[in-house]
Amino acid sequence: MDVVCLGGGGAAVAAAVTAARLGGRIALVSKEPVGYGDTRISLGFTLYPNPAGGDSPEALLADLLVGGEHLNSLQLTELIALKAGRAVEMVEEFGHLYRRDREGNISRVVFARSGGHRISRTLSCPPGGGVAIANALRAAVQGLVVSRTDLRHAGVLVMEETVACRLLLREGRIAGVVCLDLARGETVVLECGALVMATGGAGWLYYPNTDCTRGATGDGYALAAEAGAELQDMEQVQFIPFGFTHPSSIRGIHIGEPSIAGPRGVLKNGEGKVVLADLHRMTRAAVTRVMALELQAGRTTPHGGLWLDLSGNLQEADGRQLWEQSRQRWAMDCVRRAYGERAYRWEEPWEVVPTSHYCMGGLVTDAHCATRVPGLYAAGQVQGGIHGANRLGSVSLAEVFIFGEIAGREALAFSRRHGCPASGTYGEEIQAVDKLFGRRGEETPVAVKGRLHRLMWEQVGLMRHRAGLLSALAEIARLREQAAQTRVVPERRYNPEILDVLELSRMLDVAEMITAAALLREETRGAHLREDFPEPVEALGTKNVVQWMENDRLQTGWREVKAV
Amino acid sequence: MNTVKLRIRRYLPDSGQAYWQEYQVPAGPDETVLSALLYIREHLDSTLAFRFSCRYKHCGLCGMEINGRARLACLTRLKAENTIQPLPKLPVIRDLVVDRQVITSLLDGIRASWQEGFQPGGKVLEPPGRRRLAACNECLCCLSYCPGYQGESSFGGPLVFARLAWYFLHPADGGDRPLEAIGLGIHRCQDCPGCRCLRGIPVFREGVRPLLAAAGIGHAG
Ligand SMILES: Cc1cc2nc3c(=O)[nH]c(=O)nc-3n(C[C@H](O)[C@H](O)[C@H](O)COP(=O)(O)OP(=O)(O)OC[C@H]3O[C@@H](n4cnc5c(N)ncnc54)[C@H](O)[C@@H]3O)c2cc1C
Ligand code: FES
Repeated sequence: MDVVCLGGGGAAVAAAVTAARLGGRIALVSKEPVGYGDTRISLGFTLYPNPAGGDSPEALLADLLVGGEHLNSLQLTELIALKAGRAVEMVEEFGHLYRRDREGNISRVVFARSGGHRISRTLSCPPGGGVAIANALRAAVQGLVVSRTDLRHAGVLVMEETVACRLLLREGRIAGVVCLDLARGETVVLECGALVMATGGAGWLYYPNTDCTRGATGDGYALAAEAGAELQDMEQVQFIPFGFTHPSSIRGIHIGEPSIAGPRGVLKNGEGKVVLADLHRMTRAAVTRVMALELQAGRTTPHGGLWLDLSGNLQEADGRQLWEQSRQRWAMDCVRRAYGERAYRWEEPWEVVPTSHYCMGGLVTDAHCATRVPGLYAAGQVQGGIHGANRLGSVSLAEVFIFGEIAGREALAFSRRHGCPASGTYGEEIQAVDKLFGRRGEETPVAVKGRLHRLMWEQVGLMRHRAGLLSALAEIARLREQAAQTRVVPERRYNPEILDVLELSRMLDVAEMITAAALLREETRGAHLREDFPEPVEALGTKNVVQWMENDRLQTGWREVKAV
Repeated sequence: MNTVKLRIRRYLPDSGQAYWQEYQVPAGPDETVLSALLYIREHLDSTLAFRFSCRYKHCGLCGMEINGRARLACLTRLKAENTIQPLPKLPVIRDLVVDRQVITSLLDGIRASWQEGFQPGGKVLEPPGRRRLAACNECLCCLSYCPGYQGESSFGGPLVFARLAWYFLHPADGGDRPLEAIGLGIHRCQDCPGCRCLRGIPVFREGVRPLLAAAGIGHAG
């Protein structure tokens, strides 16, 4: 194998397709079917620069840096500002078409400009949203599929519902990956010359207070760190301001970001007092900050949220138009279902709570998407640095394709330059997975997972403070012990407990990273809110929190933001 | 909080055992079958296998047969008693998990090919029907409603034809989709009253019918 791409969303597919088209022999390994992940459930809003509207790479870069409070890795942010149009081009090349006007030109009519962008530069794609993009991903791979017996040819070997469990190193570089094929219950070793990590984010750590898909357990951060890669800004977890509070089956599901409030929407606390007006142009971080303070003070609605009151919009003609447009959004039928007809018509306020949506932090890479581990590349949400302390809407669907393409190309080039490392046996690494089947123990892994979810939301969630973070670190250590004692039924094929136990250990690693990073940053900046340090500290505004593993222990420290 | 009953079809592939299992689950009025399944996994029996990903209607992974009909578990409200089985007509891997390979291997046979001069991001008019077909979330429920589909690989069925039409209706498509449609047995759709899609996508009108017409196969409707 020349390159293994881990993941099944936009970033992994972009990397795999790019490398296969360049003649590479590629394996695409995804925990869920290909086309699944957050890419699939996104709204499909994609960044597309708008020169006619006064847009330029400089203007976009400025917005990304202001939005990210300058924690961004400048060379990556510059790259996305320069290449922003490439994402839409790639997705259309895969077969998806963004909305057109009557003449057949790209249409720029969008529901609302998302907070932090000073210029409207987003394309939409109703009615399918991310599903339509995901179908195009599948289509792009379809054309390149090779079978297991055909591995000598260029193309993509697709391994779905297969979990990457451990990266393999040899001679100081990437040599492959140990995976578990869930349906067969078999461990598989894939040897390769280079590997692209594109496993998405870690929003599921906060379940049910998340709008992410269930695979977003942060595996890639942990796998790569274990192999020697560095992480940055892990404390920067984006909570999008508006998620459902109830019923419990949809707790945390996405309602929207500040722009949906329209010009006259307001946020009220549980006592009915307006706590925020004119929020539709604010960034996600700024709105979530105000909400977190109210929630912290206990001035909440019956289900532990705040009221989003959009009725003011109905008084004006443009507001009514906004309602008409918003009806096409997928979240609106869910509002009707959960909160009723009057809420759907904006006549009654909605209960909203911030929900974990995106991780700005992630693997440290250079402009070629290379980590410091030779042969290990990263793209998509798992990569850090692009958004700094806050991500603006529609930029992720650009990053996954732009950096996915770079990572695929560069990983293949590395693999060709250096060849595949000599073949190994890796008995110990395989055994580590195999011996989990049939392990005896007191409780189930899913029970420990539940404790971790609650801990993260309560102590490492919206609003953090030193005592809570310290107790969270101690609790994570205890949960690790408990996780090691969990039982797993011995059945091999599609054993749900084996997936639980594998994910749990990665989730614990990532929980520790987020908590340790949050503890170090003694200030409030971007998405990271400290109750005990409610203001930004100037000296920390030029520093990233960096993390790496040393002798199996997580290390956390500061590094000056890379100014190029 | 009431208690509801779920009767679930289990199948354990390692031992070949197949049986019905009953669970009692506490549930509020707005709870869904998916939230009950998650409750079972988290509190009663973590060996129960089922797929889900998004928790609300988007991903299409939670398709299963609920009280005799193919539905999405995350959109189906609980009743006092619920009978749950894997989607019919597809091989079962374990419990409620079916083998999607049957469909994905058919999809893998369809390849994109764009006419020369196609400019991504450029001027192009997309038929509105194609945009609707693009919203298919591959939940596989349509297969259970399709009178023609029986799980064989010689017949595409609604999902595969919808995808084939998605290529066919692309203004720059360079493939011979009518020929592929014939290869996938579209003539069987000739006298069919139509497809049923849980998302309300008009698969027959926007997908199957244009392919039938292009393949020169008449349809009464
Ligand atoms: C509700 C919602 C709406 C959004 N809307 C927008 C929007 O409109 N515009 C925008 O720009 N952004 C949006 N985003 C963000 C954006 O969708 C994601 O950040 C982006 O799609 C991430 O892509 P990715 O390829 O990095 O990861 P994903 O698409 O999440 O894919 C990750 C893949 O990795 C797989 N994986 C995980 N662990 C392993 C493992 N151990 N082994 C193998 N595979 C593994 C997963 O199964 C999954 O397939 C939205 C996000 C959400 C949650
Ligand atoms: S869980 Fe995604 S559609 Fe039901």
